[in-house]
Amino acid sequence: MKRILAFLALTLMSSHAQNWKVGEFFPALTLPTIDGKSSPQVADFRGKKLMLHAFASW
Amino acid sequence: MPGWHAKTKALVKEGKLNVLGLTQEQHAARTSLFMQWKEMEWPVLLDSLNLLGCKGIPFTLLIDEHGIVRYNNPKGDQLGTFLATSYPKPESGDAQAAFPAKDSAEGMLLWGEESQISTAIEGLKGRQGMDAKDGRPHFRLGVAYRMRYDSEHREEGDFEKAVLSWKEALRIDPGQYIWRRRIQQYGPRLDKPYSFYDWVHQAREEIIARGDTPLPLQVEPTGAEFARPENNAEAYSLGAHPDPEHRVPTDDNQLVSVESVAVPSTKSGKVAFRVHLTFTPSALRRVHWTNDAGPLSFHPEETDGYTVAHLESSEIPASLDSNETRYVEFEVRGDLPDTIKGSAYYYVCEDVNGQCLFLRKPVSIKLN
Repeated sequence: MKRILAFLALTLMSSHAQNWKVGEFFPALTLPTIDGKSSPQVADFRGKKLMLHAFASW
Repeated sequence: MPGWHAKTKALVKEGKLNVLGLTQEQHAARTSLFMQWKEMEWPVLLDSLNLLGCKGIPFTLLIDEHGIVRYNNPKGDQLGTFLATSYPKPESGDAQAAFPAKDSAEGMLLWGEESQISTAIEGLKGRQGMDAKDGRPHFRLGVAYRMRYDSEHREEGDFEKAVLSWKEALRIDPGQYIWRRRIQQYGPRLDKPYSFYDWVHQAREEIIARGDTPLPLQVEPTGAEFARPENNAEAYSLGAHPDPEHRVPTDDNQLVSVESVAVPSTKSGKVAFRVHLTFTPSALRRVHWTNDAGPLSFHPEETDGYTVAHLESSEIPASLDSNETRYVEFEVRGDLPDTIKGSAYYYVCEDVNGQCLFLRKPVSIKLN
């Protein structure tokens, strides 16, 4: 049930994506890293100042 | 983003700021090579399935110590304000935990083994059509098909199904530019906003020049991914057809199989396709190319009313023979028929009967 709820949250979040407004929480994402070695997630930076870049190499 | 990196490198070193990336690429290793080239060492999360729902990139967010977005695409001087401000803890609310379960289709694609891609594909197929206004299952299915195409588990038609899935996703949401870019990556020059991977060669050269070894790519970019945007390409000089009367014997025993995928322009009103042909020697009959005899070539049969441009073939290995998959790509534009036809010619040997042959493979390419 927990997993279903988590995935539901992801689905709901996606429908409102690109609308992160200043003053709103950023989702506590859990995704793999590109090198598959380390796995820091957005939530791991709680208590710290974070700059997040969304991009692609192209 | 490299500009931000230069500005924030010292702050990160001093522990005043943390930097995290989120890439929207199909192939994670390409982002790794880019990061190595630009000497950016911060961690990058992979969102190849577009789970976060970004509709366009790049963008930069400044997120405070409580997980709240404080700046969206900040100006340079706003970073100082952000770092100097101690933000109050919100009285209520928290960030939504968002992750795909490891046994969901998305989880298998992100964390699973390549052997699980087929299971993930079946899972995503079951979600298609549940909501006619939701393009996400279609986009993710396209990513999954392309992943399988790039893996050892490739099945016939995977690339074509990927393109069809992405097209359907974009039809549902034409404003989704991440999805549009995934088609354009493999599409015609007429539809390219930029060359997607022309930086790869330069990156490798510069990494080597500074004494490092470039990180490997599991999937090398191919012709379309290097191609530059172009509005009016000159027609490819087809020259004389080497076999206008089709006297060269056809490959009736399927010593080489061919797949064709025509990737359309995503712009309405501009009809152009990038055609991808994939030639695979039969492993069952232990077929190999005879490289010293000559390359594989492809010749369109008729081009009345439309233009063929940028016909490119994969390079031949230096060895006398080889059995790799070979690729031909070209672009067509103009008044296009539903199907275009051509012939491929190649020199092959089959080890089962010990025969070496020069053969023709008729190829029929569906454009719509």
